[in-house]
Amino acid sequence: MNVSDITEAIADLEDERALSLVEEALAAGLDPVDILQNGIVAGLREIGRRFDAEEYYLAELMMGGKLSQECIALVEPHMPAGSGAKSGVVILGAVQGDLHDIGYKLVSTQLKLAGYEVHEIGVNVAPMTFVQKAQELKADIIGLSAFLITTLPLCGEVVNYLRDMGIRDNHRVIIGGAEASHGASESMGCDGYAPNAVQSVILCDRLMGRAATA
Amino acid sequence: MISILEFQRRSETGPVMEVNDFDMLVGKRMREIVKKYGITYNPEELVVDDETADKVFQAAVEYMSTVGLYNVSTFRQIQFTKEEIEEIARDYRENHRTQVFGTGKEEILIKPRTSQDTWAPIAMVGSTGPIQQDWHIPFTQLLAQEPTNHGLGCSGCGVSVDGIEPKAGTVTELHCALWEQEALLEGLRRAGREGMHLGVLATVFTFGGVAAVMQNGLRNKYNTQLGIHLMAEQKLDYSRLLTAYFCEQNGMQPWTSATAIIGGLTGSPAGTAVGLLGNLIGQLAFGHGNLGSLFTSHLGGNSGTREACWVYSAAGRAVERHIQVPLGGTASANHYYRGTRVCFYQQLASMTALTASGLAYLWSVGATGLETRVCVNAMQGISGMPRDKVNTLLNTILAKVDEVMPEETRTERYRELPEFYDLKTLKPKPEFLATVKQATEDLADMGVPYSSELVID
Ligand code: B12
Repeated sequence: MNVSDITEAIADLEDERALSLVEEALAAGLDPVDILQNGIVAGLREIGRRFDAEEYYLAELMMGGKLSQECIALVEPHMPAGSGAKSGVVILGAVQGDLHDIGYKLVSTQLKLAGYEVHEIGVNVAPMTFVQKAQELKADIIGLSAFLITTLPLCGEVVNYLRDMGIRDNHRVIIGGAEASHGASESMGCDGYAPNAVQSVILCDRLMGRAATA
Repeated sequence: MISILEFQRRSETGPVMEVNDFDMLVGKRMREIVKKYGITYNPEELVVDDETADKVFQAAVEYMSTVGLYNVSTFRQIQFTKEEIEEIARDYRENHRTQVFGTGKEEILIKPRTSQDTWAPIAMVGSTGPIQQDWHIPFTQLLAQEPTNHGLGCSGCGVSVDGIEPKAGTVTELHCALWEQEALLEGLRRAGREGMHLGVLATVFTFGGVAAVMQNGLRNKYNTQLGIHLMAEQKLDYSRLLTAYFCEQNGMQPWTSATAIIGGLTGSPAGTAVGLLGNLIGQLAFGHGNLGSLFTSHLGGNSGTREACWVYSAAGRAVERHIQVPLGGTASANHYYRGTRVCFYQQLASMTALTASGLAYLWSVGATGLETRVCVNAMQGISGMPRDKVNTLLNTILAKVDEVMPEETRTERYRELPEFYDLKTLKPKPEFLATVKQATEDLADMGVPYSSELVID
């Protein structure tokens, strides 16, 4: 078998086929790093390409994200020590009062594709919940999505908690969404703003001190 | 009709699932349903035929009876039978709803309309973008003094009041909202149109905030709609059910506004049209409102495109043939091109598609009084125009959009009113006036039926 079969099965969103191909590849002794990079991640990239070409839509992106996570879970135990180093841990959600989730779901998919461990914590999330989740999951980055005038200020609340709790240096805070901007990020003391999913990866890479992967 | 209490029961007993799993169910089922009913987007026929409208309705019934709604407060799916959905449609169809807003000389009656009717939809315009405190009142006055405008439709959100930012779910949200209501009323007063409809309450949308603004007497039953609209893709929460219940108990009109995003979970334009209709039926099911409204855009916020026109028409005409609730919409455009020809052409195209698809009212036509006047003038001529003629016109306008878009500048932020209007005289600035004049001449050349009474000043 060839890892490109895995790519194809993932890109075509064939759940069962993709999972059994990954198992087969592992059983056949193929290099797990090869399976991950040239099979699974390549499949996700193809899904991204189809999304850009409007052959796929948001639901397909989400299905692809879920399927590849299941595939990665199969490969992970076989990875050589140190090779699976993830890019970082990110928690993402829409701040209190905000129900817009389409934007951050796209950010989530791109970040996962770039090797980040992403936890989506939902919409209408209270500032303290972001802080608690960040501590619990040892998040490197807290991603706040704000689409409304009335919800943007809530991003500043998260920063204030981190500062007042003396843990500001433990987590980077980034913002995005229709109402967010570079100016808002600066004035609220956040660590950065990105206008779209691709820029979000570049921003996170920069904050993690890595060369951009996107 | 299903009672709101019954919605709570179903919210507490339906299948438990993660929100992402529900979202994927939406996407997956929609693909299957669109295929099963053979619904396809046709860029040549942006105002759809009866057959397409019927298929969209049947598909939406199946969508609602297999996917249903989802309560994010309880993590449960809310399920319906096919018979229940058909019964809701039948009830609306056989007992036509109407709605009066405004008071005194500003009273308006909204009633069902069809694609063949020669009377034009009722036009309203409010602000959709952010508003700065220093021009909130003049802006309202500017919109209200336009005679073709019959209500504010919606009112944009103020950025801050004396440096205090409205923060969702907190006291400052309410503080700013209360100031805003006073500002709106002052704007109407200055225009001599106190009785005008104020539309959907915008700055406050938590249930507590809504209730407090209503108690204060600044908003009334005759001039306000309260948002019960689902988060797109079939979701609701207890805040919406509470607001719907509040409306029902207090004789108020809920703001029933369906949303589905092209390229989002419902996918293609065909899926989006079905999703939009499903979303509308879902809101009528628990909100029991007299009116409905449709909104779509692309993932990047672009609207007023061919796809958006088709989606509006497919869902709108399905309502015309099977539900007949008075339906509203917005003459939307890509707001990153605000103040350019692209924006005016797109506004005109959206308005045309909506008017020719049986919509009864447009709650946002243009973003300034001048744009409203130009659009409303054309709307009269479009009303009752044969479908093939409308489709030719739409294709001409949208081809022009494709042609000029690369020449225009796309701004990163929403361009605000002071760029276009002199706020002391409440007159359009020369550059803006010239663009509107030019765009109107272009559109007239493309075949838009303006009447000779149109004055652009
Ligand atoms: C879809 C939509 C909705 C849907 C949301 C559905 C959903 N499941 O998300 C529904 C119908 C629920 C909705 C409701 C409302 N909405 Co709305 N909505 C939109 C719309 C049309 C598109 C937003 C969207 O998802 N676009 C698709 C995404 C993919 O595009 P994007 O923003 O470019 O996404 C990128 C970036 O934002 C960035 N990003 C996003 N999140 C993050 C996070 C991080 C950390 C980073 C780094 C980057 C990042 O990356 C994304 C991917 O590339 C916008 C219009 C607009 N121009 O944005 C209005 C808009 C945001 N809504 C608006 C309003 C007013 C409302 C309501 C208040 C309406 C009302 N009166 O009730 C309610 C509020 C509900 C609430 N409490 O949140 C206004 C906001 C005005 C303002 N400045 O306050 C807008 C701008 C429309 C307008 N012009 O008036 N809305």
